[in-house]
Parts: sequence; C-alpha cells; structure tokens
Amino acid sequence: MAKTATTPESRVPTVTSDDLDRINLSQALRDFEVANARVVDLTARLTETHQRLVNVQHELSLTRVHVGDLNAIIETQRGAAQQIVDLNNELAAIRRSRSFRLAVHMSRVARRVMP
Amino acid sequence: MSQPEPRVLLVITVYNGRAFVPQCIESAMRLDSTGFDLDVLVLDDKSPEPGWSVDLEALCGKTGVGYYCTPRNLGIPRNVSLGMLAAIDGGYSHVVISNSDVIYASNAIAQLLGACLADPTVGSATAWSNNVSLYSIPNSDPDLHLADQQVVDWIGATLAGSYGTTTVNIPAGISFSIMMPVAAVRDVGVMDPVFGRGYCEETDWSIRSRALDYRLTLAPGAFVYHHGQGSNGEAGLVAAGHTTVPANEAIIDMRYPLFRSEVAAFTACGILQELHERGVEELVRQSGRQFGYVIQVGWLPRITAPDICHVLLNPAVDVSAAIARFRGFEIPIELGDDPAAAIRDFFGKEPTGLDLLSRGPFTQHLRAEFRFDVEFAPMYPERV
Repeated sequence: MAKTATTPESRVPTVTSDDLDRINLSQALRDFEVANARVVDLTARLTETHQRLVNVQHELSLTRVHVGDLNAIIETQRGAAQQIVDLNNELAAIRRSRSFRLAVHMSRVARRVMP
Repeated sequence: MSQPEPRVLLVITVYNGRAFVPQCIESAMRLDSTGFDLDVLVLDDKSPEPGWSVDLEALCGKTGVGYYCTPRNLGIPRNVSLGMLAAIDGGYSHVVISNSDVIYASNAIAQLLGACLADPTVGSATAWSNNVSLYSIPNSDPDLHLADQQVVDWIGATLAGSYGTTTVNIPAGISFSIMMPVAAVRDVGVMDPVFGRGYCEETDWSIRSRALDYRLTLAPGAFVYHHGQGSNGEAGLVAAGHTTVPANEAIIDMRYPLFRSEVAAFTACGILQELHERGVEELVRQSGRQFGYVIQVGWLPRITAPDICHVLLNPAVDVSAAIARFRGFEIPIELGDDPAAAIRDFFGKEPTGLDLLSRGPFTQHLRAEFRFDVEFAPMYPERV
C-alpha cells in the first residue's frame, strides 16, 4: 500500500516566531477592540431591554388588576344569571301546581258565566 | 510569463495531544508536494500538560516543521485565525487549517490544492474523512481499521483515482482539515472570536464566505483520517455524549435562521448517499483487485487477513446479495441468477480463495465455478 512521495527534509515556514508574536499581538488587540465594541453595544442593548422589561412588568401589573376587576364583575353577573334561572324554575313550578291550574280554570269559568 | 508555483501553509492547531500529535506531524512530513511549496506550522495553544510544549517544540525542530507556542491560551477560533493571518503575512497562496488528531494521505494536500485550483470560485475545500460531520465515509470501526499511515495513503490514492479534483458543494466546511485560498481569507476575514473556545466558527466563516460568492466544497478525492475530538476532548470542550457545543449552535441559529433547513435540503438531495455508496464501493472493489479477495460461505464473517477483501455469502438460498468487506468498509454485491459471475464481474478478477464454513447450494455452485482445491472446512466464526 505504500506510496513513494517526494518530500523535502524541512518544511519550516517563512514566518518566524517573531513574526507570529507580532501577528498574534496585533490580532489580539483587534480582537480586544471587537470584543470591547461588542460589550459596549450589548450593554446598551441590555440597558434598553431592561427598561423595556420594567415597563412590561408595570403594564402586566396593571393588566392583572384590571383582570381582577373584570373577574369580580363576571362573578356578580354570574350570580344574577343564577337568580334569574332560579326564578324561572320557581315560576315553572307555580305554573305546574294544581292550585294555579285550578285558579286558571276558575277564571275561565267566571269569564263565561259573568257577562 | 509562467504562473508562480503555489505556496501552501499547513497549519496544525495543537492543544495537548501527546498521544496523537507526533503521528500527525510525521504524516505531515510525508506529504507529497510535487509541483508546489508546502510548509508546516504547528500552533501550540499553550498546552497545559507539563513538559508537553517543550517536547513538542523539540519534536518539531527535529522533524523540520515550524513551531509556535502562543503566550496565552487563545481557544480554537483565535488559534486558527493566527494560522490564517500567518499565511497572509508569509505570502502563501493557500492555507490548510488542520486538527492534530489526523493522519494525512500522502496526496491529501495535493488533492485539496488541485480542487481549489480547478475552480477560482472555490472558497474552501474540506477533505473527506471517516469523521467529518455528516459527510463522513461510513466505516464500522475507523480507529481499528484505518488509523495507519499506509492504509490512509492507499485510501487517499484510491479515492483520488476515482474522484480526481472533483468538488461537491456543501452547506458548510469542516476545519478538521480544510484548505482555503489566501485570497478568500483576505476577503472573508478570520474566525469570529465570539465562538470562544471553539465549535461552529468554521460554519460561521463558511456562510460569510458564501455571502461573497465563494463556493464551499468537499473534495472527495482528498482523504484525511480523523480520530475525532482529540484536542477538544483534551480541553473538555465538548461535554460527554455531545458532539458539539449547544451555545455556539445557538449563535449560528440566531445569525443564520435558514442554515438548518439548508443542511436538511442538502441531506435530502441524495448527493451525500451517492458519494458514500460510490466511495465505499470503489474502496472495496479496488481492495479486491489489488490485494485479492476471499469468498466465504457462512452465517458470520471470519476475517482471516485484514489486508484482503472478504465476500460473505449467507448460506440461505433466498439471499439476493453478498456482503463485501474491507477494513470496516462494507458494500452489498447483487448476486442475480449466477452468484459466481456477479462476484467475478464486481472485482474483474478471480478470487484468491474460498472459505467454506457451511454446506449448501452456494458452496456447491462456487466450488464448481472457481475450481479451487478446497475442502469443506466448518469452523466457528471469530465471534464464537
């Protein structure tokens, strides 16, 4: 499987350690500048976002109070509605009762005999 | 006026790795550089293992490659950037960024260079490997079967013969072994240090380069064995059970919301499957042609010699394909009506031997066809 390859004895690059130190330092400074700019930018965004968060939390609190009020109204209305249902049921029971039906019958008879 | 000879700087980024870096450097020194200049620079990212940096510097001096140890640990992206900038500063035409847990096929850099020179719009060419993210060539146990310089050289030569300097567009390059024309590096810039200690920085670079109309490519004719997670494992960069850094993936998702769907589209288009199938088929076929192949009839494979190809026929009569194996690569061979002819056609030559582990119709058929002077030799398969 071996393949003969032509290879030199040394493959040391033309860039020296001094060059690499220079490049490394120079790039580190650039990286720092970029990182610093990003920190400044992100801090500004964080501050803005924090302010937005405070505003949203305030709105949320107000909304919760409002929702509480609405719930109270709904509960009141739900109670009134139940009362109406109960009254309707009572009325139906009265209408079904023997005395009510007798009274209705008597009033019809009275209407017929009395001119 | 003739074109100046290309000058390539191979940058090997190192962080610890005493167990595998020497083999990588030795492999780099064996690289064929016919027709171009090749320099090798080892960038030691302030390895913390006591004494390792001193030993590594001595090894590099003795071997004849450049060595530089940064005064402070940079992390992978900034160490890679240092290599890219060194290539610009040194006037190189191409730079290869490489992990240190790799073994290069002797023709790997020449193949990558050929791929870059074949098309001036190529912004990066990633080598093919057993471990190169989703592009990996399937192999049952790469560390067992492939981690050998001669085997890697053979795979490299075989794939180069099959694919030449062909390149395939991919969604993102992988910097385990990636070549970039220095002109592209000048245009696109270096790695973004926001990726901290590393992972996904090359994806970011790739997408930035594509935005400038550079092609992101895989060079299937260039093979580099990759152990995987060598330095990153050493650095504790990737958590156990993970193959990436989720926080860095989140940055990619935020910057490039369409990237994942592009990867999904690439995977679904079928080119990857075709590459895999064709690559493995070529490797198995060539192994049989060059080193011979043994046909086995049995229920389980019995690898008698790792350097030859084994073709296993299941004794069950209704089996439609044999499985050909070579050093962890596997491919089915459709048998049709005449199994002996199908196998002969696949390899284009006669088998080296028959290994009959079971009686049955296949055994009779093969003995009649190939006329080997073999007897039925039932043996327990290796696993048993």
